Amino acid sequence: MKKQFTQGDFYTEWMQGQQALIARWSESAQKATDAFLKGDVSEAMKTSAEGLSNAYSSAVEQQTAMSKRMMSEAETTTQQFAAPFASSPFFGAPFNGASLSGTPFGAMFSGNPSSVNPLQMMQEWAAWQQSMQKAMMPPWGQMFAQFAPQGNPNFFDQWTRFAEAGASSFSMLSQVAKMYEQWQHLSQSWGVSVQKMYSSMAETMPSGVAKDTFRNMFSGATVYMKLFELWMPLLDTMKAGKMPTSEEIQHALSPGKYKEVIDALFEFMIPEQMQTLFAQMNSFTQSLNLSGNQASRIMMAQMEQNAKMIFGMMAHNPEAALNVYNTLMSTYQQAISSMNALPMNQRQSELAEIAQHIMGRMGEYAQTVTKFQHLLYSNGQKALEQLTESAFATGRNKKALTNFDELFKTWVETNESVFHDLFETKEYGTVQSKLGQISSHLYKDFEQMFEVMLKDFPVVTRSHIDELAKTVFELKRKVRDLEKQDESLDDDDGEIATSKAKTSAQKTASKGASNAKAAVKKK
Amino acid sequence: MNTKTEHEKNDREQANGLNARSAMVIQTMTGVYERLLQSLSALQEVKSVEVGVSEKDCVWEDGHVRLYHFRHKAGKQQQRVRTPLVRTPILIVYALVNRPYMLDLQPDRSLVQQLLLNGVDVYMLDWGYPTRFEHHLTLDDYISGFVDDAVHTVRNHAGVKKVNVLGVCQGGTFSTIYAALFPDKVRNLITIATPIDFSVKDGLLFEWAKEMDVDAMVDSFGVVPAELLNAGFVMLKPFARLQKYMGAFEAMNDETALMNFLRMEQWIFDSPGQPGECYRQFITDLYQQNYLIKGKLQLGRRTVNLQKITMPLLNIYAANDHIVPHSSTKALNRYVSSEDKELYEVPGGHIGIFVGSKAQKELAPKIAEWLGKRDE
Repeated sequence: MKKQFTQGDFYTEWMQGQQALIARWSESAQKATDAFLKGDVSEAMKTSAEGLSNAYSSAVEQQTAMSKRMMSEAETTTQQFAAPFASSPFFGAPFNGASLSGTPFGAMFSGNPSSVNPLQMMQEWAAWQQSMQKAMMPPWGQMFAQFAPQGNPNFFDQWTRFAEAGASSFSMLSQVAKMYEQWQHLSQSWGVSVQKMYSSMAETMPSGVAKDTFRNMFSGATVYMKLFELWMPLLDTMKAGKMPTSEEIQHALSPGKYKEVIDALFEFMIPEQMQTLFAQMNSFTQSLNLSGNQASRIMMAQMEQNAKMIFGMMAHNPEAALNVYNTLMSTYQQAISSMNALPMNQRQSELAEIAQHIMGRMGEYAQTVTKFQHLLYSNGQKALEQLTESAFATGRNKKALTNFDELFKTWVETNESVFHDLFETKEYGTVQSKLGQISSHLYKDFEQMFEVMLKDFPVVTRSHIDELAKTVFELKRKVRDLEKQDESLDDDDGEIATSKAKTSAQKTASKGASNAKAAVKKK
Repeated sequence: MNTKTEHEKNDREQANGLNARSAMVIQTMTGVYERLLQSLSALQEVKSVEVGVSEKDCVWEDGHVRLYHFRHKAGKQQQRVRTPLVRTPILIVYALVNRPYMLDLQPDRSLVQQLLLNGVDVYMLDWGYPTRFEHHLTLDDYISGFVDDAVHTVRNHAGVKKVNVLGVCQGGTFSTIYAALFPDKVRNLITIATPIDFSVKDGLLFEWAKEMDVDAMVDSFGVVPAELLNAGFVMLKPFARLQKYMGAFEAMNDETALMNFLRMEQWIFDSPGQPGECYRQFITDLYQQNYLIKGKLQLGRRTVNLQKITMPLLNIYAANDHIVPHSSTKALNRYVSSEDKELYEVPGGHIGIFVGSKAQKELAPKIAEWLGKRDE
């Protein structure tokens, strides 16, 4: 049996591509920083630029190859589906997708999608779908027989049999799918606009809890809508007591589309630590730029851009990476000529070394987060397949799902169970722990960077405060020990401790703390 | 009917049917956005979310840590206080992870109120929000220090030699350790949803903690940020969380339901950071090494021996606790020397045990009755 598309391959290939890109980027960043530390700024710029260029080119090639291969697989599958259909005695003259140009909405495929009225398009699309279904009614009757409850219980076998028996005019349905894609595009744009509007309105809420609640409700609604977009055609057909088209099934099980659902679900659960870190990185970069030091400025520009690129990659947006890359190249071109003559001082050298650590860790983080996402995607897909199977089983038992909320509830329950199994594995625990570990190290690296920046200035740094806190803590502990001894003596005498000794001890602690504070002030 | 009319009728019927799917899409999308808009409007009206409703006095403080004594209200409420009145006061020790007002969330969901109504004198430790200045505080500082100071204060304040200690979740572990170290100061020990055996396999947090690089976290942050811990809690049931927020739409038209929902939200995300050294030892010695059960847990120069617990023990657990599995909780009764010990199951989950309606009716009366029989 041949599956229509290979979900596991899709996610694995996505992960491998991401990891290869990050590895190449990390390697080039490392080389560039080494060169920078040796004082060879020109070489650093050259290495970094070439490295990024190569890494990006490879990523694009990999993405292209992946897309081509998937398209080719889809085409093969289409032919496989269409072949038995063409020879079906029930349908002598199958529809031809090319005839779309003659339909009232054929122009939409050649025109600008943004000029299309979504409501009109939806209505026309629905009309087209209906007329097509009507025309194909004879083979549908045959399909129902194939999908009878006494059939093969394996979902994919059922699916294949269904397809082989002559599902539908695949080429035409693919045109409908294209139109559906356009509708999705429009609905997503609408969603983004509404989100912006709602976000700005939520900002005026007087209660912080209310604001957070609304943000979470909006995120939840986004996931709900994404799942709805994915499953609507299939559910609608099932609700009407009809057999779904292969296109509808393909759409509902599309790994690329489903990835968006999983992204939307887990996006608002990513620890805000990374966002804070990114904000700190930006502010740090800005303060370095303000210092007017050319070498630091360029180095930090590189860091900032690279970080953006990594975050862009984590958002699975190759366009973002391309934009960052272009900006980076332009920055280099502007700055490179004046860089060659600049000597490096001790502080710059320390900063560059920490920057090297940070970049290495960012690469490591991106690698690990990719593995993490891969686990979530592949298990999300597993849950989706289970859900589909269960939906079809329900349909076979003549108890078709009647509304989307019902499906949504089942989807939640299925996923909760599948993800619980995933979360119990050592593999998941290890990857999650690794993410926490790298985030922690990154945070420390940034703190170190601030310390280095500030050490020549007359300001109290974090380590000074830590020193003070430790002194206060040790003094308080000594006081407490004395109090306990005192209390224990009182207990031995059959009395409850008086507060006299306690007050005296507290005074000692306060005095010690004041001395420690004074010591820091002097410094 | 002539052919033309029939054809027109078919066309009309077909046109009606044709629009079904588009109507469904538009209806669903606009429906969701309309509900969001209604929610926005309802949430705009919320000025503040009140929690921690019972009147109380601060009777002791040390830095961010405070000890509160709850007031018995005069008048009608006083008349409603049932017998038996427990003379020995109870000290509630909550977890460091969240805020203790979960036990006093709102008038009709308050374990504290219920205990007061059942004639129990209630004190509660509030750990506050530790800052980087507190990151050196160890497990020993919390248990032999703050808990012991609080016990000392309650003894003075109430004029008793021993107190009843009630520990919740991680606070239950603290209370258990305290009772093992200072058995002479504890008349009765009550634990609720308390992790004791950390080797159990049926808790996700327990499994994740075993893999955690706690040294990296503590060495980097000092006070481990609450966001990191919350991210872990959220991942326990990510899809149920999604359903919770979709279900919240229903609460938006009902002010009482909305405020109930928001109070829970307020509590869930009101999480203090974890003082580093204490957190390091809790994760390493308990979650990763299970030293409490093995009799190897060191606090300062002392080793914690659970067999030193001889006072009566009431060990309460939630029937459906996904945060602290009851296999971990129940273990306590096997390791203590107490002859008078009881396991008690309450319906609900880790949070429902305190706020669920059934729990509200059952939990406090059970505790009061149990304490009443073991009072001085």
